[in-house]
Amino acid sequence: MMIPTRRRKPVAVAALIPKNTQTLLRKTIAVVALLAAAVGYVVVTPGNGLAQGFEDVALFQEAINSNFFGVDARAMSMGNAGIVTARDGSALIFNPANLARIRRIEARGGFTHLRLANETQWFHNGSILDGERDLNKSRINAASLTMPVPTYRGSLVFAFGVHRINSFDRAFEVEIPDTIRPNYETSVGRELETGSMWKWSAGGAIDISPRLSVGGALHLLTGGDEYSWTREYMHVSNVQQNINLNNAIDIDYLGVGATAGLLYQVSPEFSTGFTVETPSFIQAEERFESVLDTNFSNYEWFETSFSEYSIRRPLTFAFGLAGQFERLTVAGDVRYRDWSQLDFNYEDDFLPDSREDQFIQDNLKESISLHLGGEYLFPDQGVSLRAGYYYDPLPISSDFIESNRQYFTVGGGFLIDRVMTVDVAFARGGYELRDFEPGDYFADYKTSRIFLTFAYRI
Amino acid sequence: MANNDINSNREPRARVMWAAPVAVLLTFVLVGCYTILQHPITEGDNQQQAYHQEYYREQCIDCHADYAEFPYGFFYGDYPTYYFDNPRWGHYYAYPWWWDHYWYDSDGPVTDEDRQGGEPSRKAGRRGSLAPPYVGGSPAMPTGGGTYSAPGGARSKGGSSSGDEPAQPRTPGEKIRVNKSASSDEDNSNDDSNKKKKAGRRGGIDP
Repeated sequence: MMIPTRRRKPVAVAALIPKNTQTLLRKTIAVVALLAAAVGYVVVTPGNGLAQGFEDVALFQEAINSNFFGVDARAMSMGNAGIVTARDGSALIFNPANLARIRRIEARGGFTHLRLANETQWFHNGSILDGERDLNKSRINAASLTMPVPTYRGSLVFAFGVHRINSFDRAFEVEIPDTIRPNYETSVGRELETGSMWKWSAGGAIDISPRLSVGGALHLLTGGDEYSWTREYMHVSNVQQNINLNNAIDIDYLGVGATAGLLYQVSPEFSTGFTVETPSFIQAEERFESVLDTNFSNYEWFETSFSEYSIRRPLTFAFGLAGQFERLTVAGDVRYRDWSQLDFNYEDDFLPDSREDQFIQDNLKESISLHLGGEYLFPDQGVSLRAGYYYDPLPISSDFIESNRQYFTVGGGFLIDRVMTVDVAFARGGYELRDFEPGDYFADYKTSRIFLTFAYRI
Repeated sequence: MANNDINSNREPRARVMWAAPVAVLLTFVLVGCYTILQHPITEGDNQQQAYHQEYYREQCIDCHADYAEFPYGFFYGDYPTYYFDNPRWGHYYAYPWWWDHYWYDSDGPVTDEDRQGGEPSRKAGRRGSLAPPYVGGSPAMPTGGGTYSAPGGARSKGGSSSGDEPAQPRTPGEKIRVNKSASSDEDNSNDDSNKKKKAGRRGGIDP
């Protein structure tokens, strides 16, 4: 039985620019898909056998962000490791069981600054088409309140917090060769995307033995993503013939999830932790608008649409081990998630999602991220120095990856009097992507992140 | 239709996935938890003292000797040495807020004795017999041999204390370092529309 589909109405200017053989379009789509995936999106493009036309296929599903941006300066400066070593409100995210180690009422907040630099190179007919673009964003990224309950023995702690777990901030520019329109030599494409995914968490932890703590947290996920893609088609001789395309996508996210964790003191020096993040169920509402304008006409053409769909993020497992040797702390985390189990559904039963599921199954992969970090204390000065490294591979085929995502981190912490800590971190890293055909296209992303977190304990 | 069938088949599996962690969590929480908020009042105790937990505060080591093995507050391991030279680290990370001695715990103005945790109030002294030595004045000094003399006369391994002074659980033979200049809190405080498919128009889609 055929499943009825709804087709998007063709844009009115279809006749204005000749239909092509889709070769360039596919390439362009694939490149942009890669770029989006690189900053955390899992993007869906049609497989070769599925491309029935761009009007009725959900070409890109920014289903979910795969990059964990970071929520705490201390953890980030230690390679974003925190399964065992998170000992403040960030435990809601890293491992709720760690809350059991907090003995004082804590109020905590944090800021981040992102600097992203993009450079692209498109090799075409022996020449190189360059593009580059920067983006700076400063944001609040954490706030939490932790409340230990007075106990006679053991520990019972509750915490509430909100953390910015994913960043959608991105910018991209590329000059695209036009091989199909005789009078249009190149076009310049620019992307700008801003937004965040937030986790509102309520959790608690309890000691169930002298050495073993368990914890859990419930999460409400909220977020928004504003995306724009502009492309200017340059006429070879007449500027008046230039054509401008502006696409805009606005998405609102709302979802739920939960995390459970264990923390075990193996010996006086070593601790280990384990967490499971349940599948997250996210509802998305998306508005789309496309406007095409020209200099030679008094008309502009536009199209709008609205869609609703749900996303189920797969389970995440994480394991951590840390050693504490007087003034020195060393920590390592491993996080696993199989993105091929990402699930996607339209709210409308008449809209099939088999194509998206097929693409996810064929193109998304499992990912294992590694996090290593260390901290050394100077107790007299109330100072901590930290450094770390983490490898956070993109969950897409290695065919598209020139160099995978990795970061080096450094930072410091200050204990002020005996009631307040201030932590700072700097993370520098990036990744490089390529087209299906190696040597044809490269996009280099370098990101610098600064984290500032402060906590006050009453 | 086929899509609906697939979704309906997924529901039981989803329930199982949710039920499993919830069941594990409830098991941990409800069955024999180690953490206790208040000591149960046992038969034969002085009811007035027991109600305020004073009795157990003073006598807890009699029954709970494992306190000596699991120093309270710091990962159930030994306190780092630098806690003793710089008590603010211990205060920030390990000292429970409900042990604090507040101004309203005394009848008059805060005195040096209050700051040093002199005469414990009910709140501050809830587990005062095991207060760690890195805060609140001079800690208990070891009497040698790595034995632990708990209030009330009980003895267990791994600690060091004398008389009614606070006891710091230590491993046998380990020395306690005491910073004399950090003998009071006062001193310590200074050092520190139409439904459609999802928009498929991310970059590069031509009209």
